[in-house]
Amino acid sequence: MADDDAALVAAARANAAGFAQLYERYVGRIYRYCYVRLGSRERAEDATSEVFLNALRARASFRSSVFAAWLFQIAHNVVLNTPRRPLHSLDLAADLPDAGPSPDLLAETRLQREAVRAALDTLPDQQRSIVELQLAGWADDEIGQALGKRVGAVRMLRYRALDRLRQVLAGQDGEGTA
Amino acid sequence: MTANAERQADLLAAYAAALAHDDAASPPAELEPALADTARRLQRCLEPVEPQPAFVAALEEQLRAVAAHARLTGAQRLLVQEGGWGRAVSSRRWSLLLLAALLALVMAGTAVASGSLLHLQRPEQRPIGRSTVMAFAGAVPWILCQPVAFQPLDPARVAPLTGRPIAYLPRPPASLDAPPEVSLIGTPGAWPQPGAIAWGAPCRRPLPGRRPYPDHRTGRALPRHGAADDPRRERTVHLSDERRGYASTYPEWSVPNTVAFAADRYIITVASDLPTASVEQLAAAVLVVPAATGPTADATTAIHPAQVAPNAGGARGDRDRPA
Repeated sequence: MADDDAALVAAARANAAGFAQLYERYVGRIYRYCYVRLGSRERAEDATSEVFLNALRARASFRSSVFAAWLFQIAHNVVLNTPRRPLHSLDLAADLPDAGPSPDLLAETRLQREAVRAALDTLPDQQRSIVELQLAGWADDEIGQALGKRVGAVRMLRYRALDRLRQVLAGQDGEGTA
Repeated sequence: MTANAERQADLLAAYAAALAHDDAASPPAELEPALADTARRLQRCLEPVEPQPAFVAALEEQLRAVAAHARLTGAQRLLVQEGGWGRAVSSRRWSLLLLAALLALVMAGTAVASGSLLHLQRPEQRPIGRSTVMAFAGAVPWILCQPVAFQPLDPARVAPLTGRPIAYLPRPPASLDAPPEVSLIGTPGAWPQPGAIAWGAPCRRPLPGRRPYPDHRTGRALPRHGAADDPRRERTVHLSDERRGYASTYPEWSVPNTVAFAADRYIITVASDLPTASVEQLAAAVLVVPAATGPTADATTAIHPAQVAPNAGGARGDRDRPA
Protein backbone atom coordinates (compact mmCIF):
# COMPACT_ATOMS: atom_id res chain seq x y z
CA MET A 1 0.00 0.00 0.00
CA ALA A 2 2.79 2.42 0.87
CA ASP A 3 4.46 2.03 -2.51
CA ASP A 4 1.20 2.67 -4.31
CA ASP A 5 0.58 5.68 -2.11
CA ALA A 6 3.90 7.26 -2.96
CA ALA A 7 2.87 8.01 -6.52
CA LEU A 8 -0.52 9.28 -5.43
CA VAL A 9 0.99 11.45 -2.74
CA ALA A 10 3.42 12.94 -5.24
CA ALA A 11 0.52 13.71 -7.54
CA ALA A 12 -1.47 15.21 -4.70
CA ARG A 13 1.40 17.46 -3.66
CA ALA A 14 1.87 18.67 -7.19
CA ASN A 15 -1.79 19.22 -7.85
CA ALA A 16 -4.68 19.28 -5.41
CA ALA A 17 -6.80 17.40 -7.92
CA GLY A 18 -4.46 14.47 -7.42
CA PHE A 19 -5.76 14.21 -3.88
CA ALA A 20 -8.95 12.66 -5.20
CA GLN A 21 -7.38 9.24 -5.65
CA LEU A 22 -6.02 9.23 -2.12
CA TYR A 23 -9.43 10.23 -0.91
CA GLU A 24 -11.09 7.37 -2.76
CA ARG A 25 -8.58 4.93 -1.37
CA TYR A 26 -8.89 5.98 2.25
CA VAL A 27 -12.33 7.45 2.79
CA GLY A 28 -13.91 4.13 3.71
CA ARG A 29 -11.20 3.18 6.15
CA ILE A 30 -11.15 6.58 7.81
CA TYR A 31 -14.93 6.73 8.02
CA ARG A 32 -15.16 3.29 9.60
CA TYR A 33 -12.48 4.16 12.10
CA CYS A 34 -14.31 7.35 13.04
CA TYR A 35 -17.57 5.43 13.29
CA VAL A 36 -16.10 2.77 15.56
CA ARG A 37 -14.56 5.47 17.71
CA LEU A 38 -17.48 7.89 17.83
CA GLY A 39 -20.44 5.57 17.49
CA SER A 40 -22.73 7.51 15.21
CA ARG A 41 -23.03 8.18 11.54
CA GLU A 42 -23.39 11.91 11.99
CA ARG A 43 -20.24 12.23 14.05
CA ALA A 44 -18.34 9.90 11.79
CA GLU A 45 -19.34 11.99 8.80
CA ASP A 46 -18.35 15.20 10.53
CA ALA A 47 -15.03 13.75 11.63
CA THR A 48 -14.28 12.24 8.23
CA SER A 49 -14.97 15.57 6.58
CA GLU A 50 -12.60 17.28 8.98
CA VAL A 51 -9.89 14.67 8.48
CA PHE A 52 -9.81 15.00 4.72
CA LEU A 53 -10.19 18.75 4.69
CA ASN A 54 -7.26 18.99 7.09
CA ALA A 55 -5.27 16.54 5.03
CA LEU A 56 -5.96 18.41 1.83
CA ARG A 57 -4.89 21.70 3.32
CA ALA A 58 -1.77 20.22 4.91
CA ARG A 59 -0.75 17.92 2.08
CA ALA A 60 2.24 20.07 1.23
CA SER A 61 3.64 19.44 4.69
CA PHE A 62 3.46 15.68 4.33
CA ARG A 63 6.98 14.41 4.83
CA SER A 64 6.44 10.96 6.26
CA SER A 65 7.12 7.95 4.15
CA VAL A 66 3.77 6.41 4.94
CA PHE A 67 0.69 8.34 3.97
CA ALA A 68 -1.60 6.01 5.95
CA ALA A 69 0.27 6.81 9.15
CA TRP A 70 0.03 10.52 8.51
CA LEU A 71 -3.66 10.34 7.69
CA PHE A 72 -4.39 8.13 10.69
CA GLN A 73 -2.65 10.63 12.95
CA ILE A 74 -4.92 13.36 11.63
CA ALA A 75 -7.95 11.14 12.16
CA HIS A 76 -6.80 10.22 15.63
CA ASN A 77 -6.43 13.86 16.59
CA VAL A 78 -9.84 14.67 15.17
CA VAL A 79 -11.64 11.92 17.07
CA LEU A 80 -9.78 12.77 20.26
CA ASN A 81 -11.08 16.32 19.94
CA THR A 82 -14.63 15.18 19.28
CA PRO A 83 -16.66 14.91 22.46
CA ARG A 84 -18.38 11.63 23.03
CA ARG A 85 -22.11 11.72 22.59
CA PRO A 86 -24.21 11.24 25.70
CA LEU A 87 -24.29 7.63 26.68
CA HIS A 88 -28.00 7.36 26.15
CA SER A 89 -27.88 8.53 22.56
CA LEU A 90 -28.81 6.13 19.84
CA ASP A 91 -27.68 6.18 16.30
CA LEU A 92 -31.05 5.44 14.86
CA ALA A 93 -29.76 4.96 11.37
CA ALA A 94 -27.64 2.10 12.60
CA ASP A 95 -29.94 0.80 15.28
CA LEU A 96 -33.12 0.55 13.33
CA PRO A 97 -32.75 -1.80 10.42
CA ASP A 98 -35.73 -2.46 8.24
CA ALA A 99 -36.59 -5.64 10.07
CA GLY A 100 -37.54 -3.56 13.08
CA PRO A 101 -36.15 -4.87 16.34
CA SER A 102 -38.23 -4.38 19.42
CA PRO A 103 -37.56 -1.52 21.79
CA ASP A 104 -36.37 -4.07 24.32
CA LEU A 105 -33.80 -5.40 21.93
CA LEU A 106 -32.71 -1.90 20.98
CA ALA A 107 -32.22 -0.97 24.59
CA GLU A 108 -30.31 -4.15 25.33
CA THR A 109 -28.08 -3.63 22.32
CA ARG A 110 -27.44 -0.11 23.41
CA LEU A 111 -26.44 -1.16 26.90
CA GLN A 112 -24.06 -3.80 25.59
CA ARG A 113 -22.50 -1.30 23.24
CA GLU A 114 -22.01 1.18 26.04
CA ALA A 115 -20.39 -1.49 28.19
CA VAL A 116 -17.91 -2.33 25.45
CA ARG A 117 -17.12 1.32 24.85
CA ALA A 118 -16.54 1.85 28.54
CA ALA A 119 -14.17 -1.12 28.54
CA LEU A 120 -12.29 0.32 25.57
CA ASP A 121 -11.78 3.49 27.55
CA THR A 122 -9.62 1.53 29.97
CA LEU A 123 -7.09 0.50 27.34
CA PRO A 124 -3.80 2.27 26.68
CA ASP A 125 -4.12 4.49 23.65
CA GLN A 126 -2.11 2.34 21.28
CA GLN A 127 -3.90 -0.86 22.20
CA ARG A 128 -7.21 0.85 21.77
CA SER A 129 -6.24 2.19 18.36
CA ILE A 130 -5.26 -1.29 17.23
CA VAL A 131 -8.59 -2.73 18.30
CA GLU A 132 -10.55 0.08 16.69
CA LEU A 133 -8.60 0.03 13.46
CA GLN A 134 -9.05 -3.71 13.22
CA LEU A 135 -12.80 -3.34 13.76
CA ALA A 136 -12.76 -0.67 11.09
CA GLY A 137 -11.46 -3.22 8.62
CA TRP A 138 -7.79 -2.29 8.54
CA ALA A 139 -5.46 -5.22 7.91
CA ASP A 140 -2.65 -5.88 10.37
CA ASP A 141 0.00 -4.61 7.98
CA GLU A 142 -2.00 -1.42 7.44
CA ILE A 143 -2.35 -0.95 11.18
CA GLY A 144 1.37 -1.53 11.51
CA GLN A 145 2.07 1.15 8.93
CA ALA A 146 -0.31 3.58 10.58
CA LEU A 147 1.20 3.07 14.01
CA GLY A 148 4.79 2.45 13.02
CA LYS A 149 4.76 -1.11 14.33
CA ARG A 150 5.67 -4.47 12.97
CA VAL A 151 2.84 -6.87 12.29
CA GLY A 152 3.97 -9.14 15.11
CA ALA A 153 3.89 -6.24 17.54
CA VAL A 154 0.43 -5.27 16.38
CA ARG A 155 -0.82 -8.77 17.08
CA MET A 156 0.75 -8.92 20.51
CA LEU A 157 -0.71 -5.58 21.46
CA ARG A 158 -4.13 -6.72 20.27
CA TYR A 159 -3.77 -9.90 22.29
CA ARG A 160 -3.00 -7.88 25.40
CA ALA A 161 -5.84 -5.51 24.61
CA LEU A 162 -8.39 -8.28 24.31
CA ASP A 163 -7.10 -9.97 27.40
CA ARG A 164 -7.57 -6.72 29.26
CA LEU A 165 -11.02 -6.20 27.75
CA ARG A 166 -11.99 -9.72 28.75
CA GLN A 167 -11.18 -8.94 32.37
CA VAL A 168 -12.95 -5.58 32.36
CA LEU A 169 -16.08 -6.94 30.69
CA ALA A 170 -16.16 -9.88 33.06
CA GLY A 171 -16.03 -7.42 35.93
CA GLN A 172 -18.88 -5.40 34.44
CA ASP A 173 -20.97 -8.50 33.89
CA GLY A 174 -20.35 -9.52 37.48
CA GLU A 175 -21.51 -6.15 38.74
CA GLY A 176 -24.58 -6.31 36.55
CA THR A 177 -25.69 -9.63 37.97
CA ALA A 178 -24.75 -8.92 41.55
CA MET B 1 6.61 -12.73 25.82
CA THR B 2 5.86 -16.44 25.91
CA ALA B 3 5.53 -18.71 22.95
CA ASN B 4 1.96 -19.37 23.97
CA ALA B 5 1.15 -15.68 23.98
CA GLU B 6 2.60 -15.32 20.51
CA ARG B 7 0.58 -18.28 19.36
CA GLN B 8 -2.58 -16.90 20.89
CA ALA B 9 -1.89 -13.51 19.30
CA ASP B 10 -1.60 -15.11 15.87
CA LEU B 11 -4.76 -17.16 16.39
CA LEU B 12 -6.58 -14.10 17.57
CA ALA B 13 -5.47 -12.17 14.49
CA ALA B 14 -6.78 -14.92 12.26
CA TYR B 15 -10.07 -15.10 14.10
CA ALA B 16 -10.55 -11.33 14.09
CA ALA B 17 -9.97 -11.27 10.35
CA ALA B 18 -12.48 -14.09 9.88
CA LEU B 19 -15.07 -12.31 12.02
CA ALA B 20 -14.75 -9.20 9.91
CA HIS B 21 -16.04 -11.17 6.95
CA ASP B 22 -18.41 -13.55 8.72
CA ASP B 23 -19.70 -12.82 12.19
CA ALA B 24 -20.63 -16.47 12.57
CA ALA B 25 -17.10 -17.65 11.89
CA SER B 26 -15.85 -20.38 14.20
CA PRO B 27 -12.78 -19.61 16.30
CA PRO B 28 -9.64 -21.69 15.91
CA ALA B 29 -9.74 -24.66 18.24
CA GLU B 30 -6.58 -23.60 20.05
CA LEU B 31 -7.72 -20.04 20.72
CA GLU B 32 -8.64 -19.44 24.33
CA PRO B 33 -12.46 -19.44 24.48
CA ALA B 34 -12.59 -16.30 26.61
CA LEU B 35 -10.54 -14.39 24.05
CA ALA B 36 -12.75 -15.66 21.25
CA ASP B 37 -15.83 -14.56 23.17
CA THR B 38 -14.34 -11.11 23.67
CA ALA B 39 -13.48 -10.81 20.00
CA ARG B 40 -17.02 -11.83 19.04
CA ARG B 41 -18.52 -9.37 21.48
CA LEU B 42 -16.40 -6.53 20.15
CA GLN B 43 -17.33 -7.34 16.60
CA ARG B 44 -21.02 -7.58 17.45
CA CYS B 45 -21.19 -4.37 19.45
CA LEU B 46 -18.89 -2.16 17.43
CA GLU B 47 -19.30 -3.42 13.90
CA PRO B 48 -18.70 -0.43 11.65
CA VAL B 49 -20.98 0.70 8.89
CA GLU B 50 -19.91 1.81 5.47
CA PRO B 51 -20.15 5.48 4.59
CA GLN B 52 -23.21 6.34 2.60
CA PRO B 53 -22.43 6.91 -1.07
CA ALA B 54 -24.12 10.28 -1.02
CA PHE B 55 -21.84 11.40 1.78
CA VAL B 56 -18.71 10.12 0.02
CA ALA B 57 -19.69 11.89 -3.18
CA ALA B 58 -20.61 15.10 -1.43
CA LEU B 59 -17.39 15.22 0.55
CA GLU B 60 -15.38 14.60 -2.59
CA GLU B 61 -17.17 17.48 -4.21
CA GLN B 62 -16.39 19.67 -1.24
CA LEU B 63 -12.73 18.69 -1.39
CA ARG B 64 -12.61 19.56 -5.06
CA ALA B 65 -14.19 22.89 -4.26
CA VAL B 66 -11.68 23.59 -1.52
CA ALA B 67 -8.83 22.62 -3.80
CA ALA B 68 -10.13 24.89 -6.54
CA HIS B 69 -10.71 27.64 -4.05
CA ALA B 70 -7.17 27.38 -2.74
CA ARG B 71 -5.79 28.23 -6.16
CA LEU B 72 -7.66 31.51 -6.42
CA THR B 73 -6.77 34.94 -5.20
CA GLY B 74 -8.81 36.64 -2.53
CA ALA B 75 -10.91 38.65 -4.98
CA GLN B 76 -11.51 35.60 -7.12
CA ARG B 77 -12.65 33.61 -4.12
CA LEU B 78 -15.34 36.09 -3.30
CA LEU B 79 -16.60 36.06 -6.83
CA VAL B 80 -16.50 32.31 -7.23
CA GLN B 81 -18.47 31.89 -4.04
CA GLU B 82 -21.22 33.94 -5.53
CA GLY B 83 -21.35 31.99 -8.75
CA GLY B 84 -20.72 28.48 -7.46
CA TRP B 85 -17.46 26.84 -6.55
CA GLY B 86 -16.51 25.50 -9.90
CA ARG B 87 -17.68 28.26 -12.16
CA ALA B 88 -15.06 30.15 -14.07
CA VAL B 89 -15.12 33.86 -13.65
CA SER B 90 -14.46 36.14 -16.54
CA SER B 91 -11.74 38.59 -15.69
CA ARG B 92 -13.51 41.25 -17.73
CA ARG B 93 -16.42 41.18 -15.32
CA TRP B 94 -14.45 41.22 -12.12
CA SER B 95 -15.13 44.80 -11.30
CA LEU B 96 -18.86 44.48 -11.78
CA LEU B 97 -19.06 41.22 -9.91
CA LEU B 98 -16.94 42.53 -7.10
CA LEU B 99 -19.22 45.49 -6.75
CA ALA B 100 -22.27 43.21 -6.75
CA ALA B 101 -20.68 40.97 -4.17
CA LEU B 102 -19.87 43.86 -1.89
CA LEU B 103 -23.42 45.14 -2.26
CA ALA B 104 -24.74 41.69 -1.38
CA LEU B 105 -22.45 41.62 1.63
CA VAL B 106 -23.88 44.86 2.91
CA MET B 107 -27.44 43.71 2.27
CA ALA B 108 -26.84 40.39 3.93
CA GLY B 109 -25.28 41.98 6.96
CA THR B 110 -28.20 44.33 7.27
CA ALA B 111 -30.69 41.51 6.91
CA VAL B 112 -28.98 39.39 9.52
CA ALA B 113 -28.88 42.28 11.90
CA SER B 114 -32.59 42.83 11.46
CA GLY B 115 -33.45 39.14 11.49
CA SER B 116 -35.56 39.62 8.40
CA LEU B 117 -33.72 37.34 6.02
CA LEU B 118 -33.33 33.62 6.23
CA HIS B 119 -31.19 32.24 3.50
CA LEU B 120 -32.11 28.63 2.84
CA GLN B 121 -29.35 26.62 1.37
CA ARG B 122 -30.30 23.40 -0.31
CA PRO B 123 -29.42 20.58 2.10
CA GLU B 124 -27.63 18.49 -0.47
CA GLN B 125 -25.03 21.22 -0.83
CA ARG B 126 -23.65 20.44 2.59
CA PRO B 127 -21.84 17.11 2.64
CA ILE B 128 -21.82 16.76 6.37
CA GLY B 129 -24.08 15.34 9.03
CA ARG B 130 -27.82 15.63 8.77
CA SER B 131 -28.15 17.80 11.78
CA THR B 132 -25.48 20.03 10.38
CA VAL B 133 -27.42 20.26 7.18
CA MET B 134 -30.44 21.41 9.06
CA ALA B 135 -28.44 23.86 11.08
CA PHE B 136 -26.69 25.23 8.08
CA ALA B 137 -29.95 25.62 6.25
CA GLY B 138 -30.85 28.34 8.67
CA ALA B 139 -27.48 29.90 9.08
CA VAL B 140 -26.62 33.36 8.03
CA PRO B 141 -26.53 34.04 4.30
CA TRP B 142 -23.87 32.18 2.46
CA ILE B 143 -21.70 35.13 1.80
CA LEU B 144 -20.95 35.43 5.50
CA CYS B 145 -20.89 31.74 6.26
CA GLN B 146 -18.06 29.91 7.86
CA PRO B 147 -18.34 26.13 7.77
CA VAL B 148 -18.94 25.76 11.48
CA ALA B 149 -20.49 29.14 12.21
CA PHE B 150 -23.95 27.88 13.01
CA GLN B 151 -26.69 29.95 14.46
CA PRO B 152 -30.04 29.05 15.91
CA LEU B 153 -32.54 28.72 13.14
CA ASP B 154 -36.20 28.70 12.42
CA PRO B 155 -37.21 25.02 12.35
CA ALA B 156 -40.62 25.73 10.92
CA ARG B 157 -38.99 27.19 7.85
CA VAL B 158 -36.22 24.63 7.64
CA ALA B 159 -38.36 21.50 7.91
CA PRO B 160 -39.78 21.68 4.40
CA LEU B 161 -36.29 21.71 2.98
CA THR B 162 -35.08 18.78 5.01
CA GLY B 163 -38.06 16.58 4.28
CA ARG B 164 -37.93 15.46 7.90
CA PRO B 165 -40.14 16.25 10.83
CA ILE B 166 -38.57 18.52 13.36
CA ALA B 167 -39.38 18.99 17.01
CA TYR B 168 -38.05 21.99 18.80
CA LEU B 169 -38.42 24.27 21.74
CA PRO B 170 -39.42 27.73 20.66
CA ARG B 171 -38.02 29.24 23.83
CA PRO B 172 -35.22 27.20 25.37
CA PRO B 173 -34.50 28.06 28.98
CA ALA B 174 -32.29 31.07 29.25
CA SER B 175 -30.17 29.33 31.87
CA LEU B 176 -28.85 26.86 29.35
CA ASP B 177 -25.86 27.68 27.22
CA ALA B 178 -27.44 25.56 24.52
CA PRO B 179 -30.91 24.20 23.91
CA PRO B 180 -31.86 20.88 25.44
CA GLU B 181 -32.26 17.91 23.22
CA VAL B 182 -35.52 17.36 21.46
CA SER B 183 -35.91 14.43 19.15
CA LEU B 184 -38.52 12.80 17.05
CA ILE B 185 -38.00 9.12 17.06
CA GLY B 186 -40.70 7.19 15.33
CA THR B 187 -44.27 6.25 14.93
CA PRO B 188 -46.06 4.91 17.98
CA GLY B 189 -48.14 1.84 17.41
CA ALA B 190 -46.07 0.60 14.53
CA TRP B 191 -42.59 0.67 15.87
CA PRO B 192 -40.37 1.13 14.08
CA GLN B 193 -41.41 2.27 10.67
CA PRO B 194 -38.62 2.58 8.13
CA GLY B 195 -38.70 6.06 6.79
CA ALA B 196 -40.60 7.39 9.74
CA ILE B 197 -37.44 8.04 11.68
CA ALA B 198 -36.08 11.52 11.88
CA TRP B 199 -33.72 13.57 13.90
CA GLY B 200 -35.24 16.68 15.24
CA ALA B 201 -32.59 18.80 16.80
CA PRO B 202 -32.29 21.86 14.65
CA CYS B 203 -30.23 23.81 17.10
CA ARG B 204 -26.56 23.16 16.93
CA ARG B 205 -24.04 25.84 17.48
CA PRO B 206 -20.54 26.26 18.78
CA LEU B 207 -20.03 27.47 22.28
CA PRO B 208 -17.54 30.24 22.90
CA GLY B 209 -14.06 28.97 23.41
CA ARG B 210 -14.98 25.34 22.89
CA ARG B 211 -14.42 23.21 19.89
CA PRO B 212 -15.52 21.26 18.17
CA TYR B 213 -19.11 22.30 18.27
CA PRO B 214 -21.36 20.29 20.53
CA ASP B 215 -24.61 18.94 19.31
CA HIS B 216 -27.73 18.31 21.23
CA ARG B 217 -29.25 15.30 19.65
CA THR B 218 -30.44 12.25 21.38
CA GLY B 219 -32.37 9.21 20.42
CA ARG B 220 -34.20 6.87 22.66
CA ALA B 221 -36.30 3.78 22.42
CA LEU B 222 -39.85 3.62 23.66
CA PRO B 223 -40.20 2.82 27.33
CA ARG B 224 -39.32 -0.76 27.90
CA HIS B 225 -41.75 -3.15 29.47
CA GLY B 226 -38.78 -4.88 30.97
CA ALA B 227 -37.68 -1.69 32.65
CA ALA B 228 -40.98 -1.22 34.41
CA ASP B 229 -39.65 -2.92 37.51
CA ASP B 230 -37.06 -0.21 37.88
CA PRO B 231 -38.94 2.96 38.78
CA ARG B 232 -35.74 4.94 38.55
CA ARG B 233 -35.56 4.25 34.85
CA GLU B 234 -39.15 4.37 33.65
CA ARG B 235 -42.23 5.96 35.14
CA THR B 236 -45.33 7.50 33.73
CA VAL B 237 -45.84 11.21 34.19
CA HIS B 238 -48.52 13.58 33.03
CA LEU B 239 -47.50 16.75 31.35
CA SER B 240 -49.15 20.05 32.09
CA ASP B 241 -51.50 19.58 29.15
CA GLU B 242 -52.52 16.16 30.50
CA ARG B 243 -50.73 14.18 27.88
CA ARG B 244 -49.00 11.13 29.25
CA GLY B 245 -45.26 10.87 29.04
CA TYR B 246 -42.56 8.51 30.21
CA ALA B 247 -39.77 9.89 32.33
CA SER B 248 -36.41 8.26 32.89
CA THR B 249 -33.60 9.21 35.18
CA TYR B 250 -30.12 7.89 34.69
CA PRO B 251 -28.05 9.56 37.40
CA GLU B 252 -24.81 8.20 36.02
CA TRP B 253 -25.25 9.91 32.68
CA SER B 254 -24.24 13.40 31.73
CA VAL B 255 -27.77 14.18 30.56
CA PRO B 256 -29.68 12.25 33.17
CA ASN B 257 -33.32 13.22 32.74
CA THR B 258 -35.51 12.43 29.76
CA VAL B 259 -39.20 12.64 29.09
CA ALA B 260 -40.70 10.85 26.11
CA PHE B 261 -44.23 11.33 24.87
CA ALA B 262 -46.37 10.77 21.82
CA ALA B 263 -47.59 13.64 19.70
CA ASP B 264 -49.36 13.17 16.43
CA ARG B 265 -47.47 10.35 14.70
CA TYR B 266 -44.25 10.80 16.59
CA ILE B 267 -42.46 9.81 19.72
CA ILE B 268 -40.69 12.85 21.08
CA THR B 269 -37.95 12.82 23.67
CA VAL B 270 -36.68 15.78 25.62
CA ALA B 271 -33.41 15.26 27.43
CA SER B 272 -31.56 17.57 29.75
CA ASP B 273 -29.49 17.84 32.86
CA LEU B 274 -32.20 20.05 34.28
CA PRO B 275 -34.35 18.55 37.05
CA THR B 276 -37.03 16.15 35.90
CA ALA B 277 -39.83 18.59 36.70
CA SER B 278 -38.21 21.17 34.45
CA VAL B 279 -37.83 18.64 31.68
CA GLU B 280 -41.53 17.83 31.96
CA GLN B 281 -42.32 21.51 31.59
CA LEU B 282 -40.11 21.71 28.55
CA ALA B 283 -41.81 18.68 27.04
CA ALA B 284 -45.15 20.44 27.18
CA ALA B 285 -43.70 23.31 25.19
CA VAL B 286 -42.30 21.29 22.31
CA LEU B 287 -43.52 22.24 18.87
CA VAL B 288 -43.56 19.76 16.02
CA VAL B 289 -43.17 20.57 12.37
CA PRO B 290 -44.29 17.52 10.40
CA ALA B 291 -42.32 16.20 7.49
CA ALA B 292 -43.09 18.20 4.40
CA THR B 293 -43.70 16.78 0.99
CA GLY B 294 -41.33 19.06 -0.79
CA PRO B 295 -39.54 22.35 -0.83
CA THR B 296 -42.67 24.21 -1.84
CA ALA B 297 -44.70 23.05 1.13
CA ASP B 298 -46.05 25.58 3.54
CA ALA B 299 -43.34 26.22 6.06
CA THR B 300 -45.61 27.54 8.74
CA THR B 301 -47.61 24.42 9.58
CA ALA B 302 -46.23 23.88 13.03
CA ILE B 303 -48.30 21.63 15.25
CA HIS B 304 -48.61 22.52 18.86
CA PRO B 305 -48.94 19.61 21.27
CA ALA B 306 -52.28 20.96 22.36
CA GLN B 307 -53.62 20.18 18.91
CA VAL B 308 -53.08 16.47 19.28
CA ALA B 309 -55.29 14.14 21.23
CA PRO B 310 -54.10 13.64 24.79
CA ASN B 311 -53.63 10.17 26.14
CA ALA B 312 -55.43 8.79 29.12
CA GLY B 313 -54.97 10.71 32.34
CA GLY B 314 -53.58 9.90 35.78
CA ALA B 315 -51.74 11.57 38.60
CA ARG B 316 -48.62 13.49 37.75
CA GLY B 317 -45.50 11.63 38.65
CA ASP B 318 -47.22 8.36 39.37
CA ARG B 319 -45.67 5.06 38.53
CA ASP B 320 -48.08 3.58 36.06
CA ARG B 321 -46.55 0.98 33.89
CA PRO B 322 -46.33 1.85 30.21
CA ALA B 323 -49.19 0.24 28.35
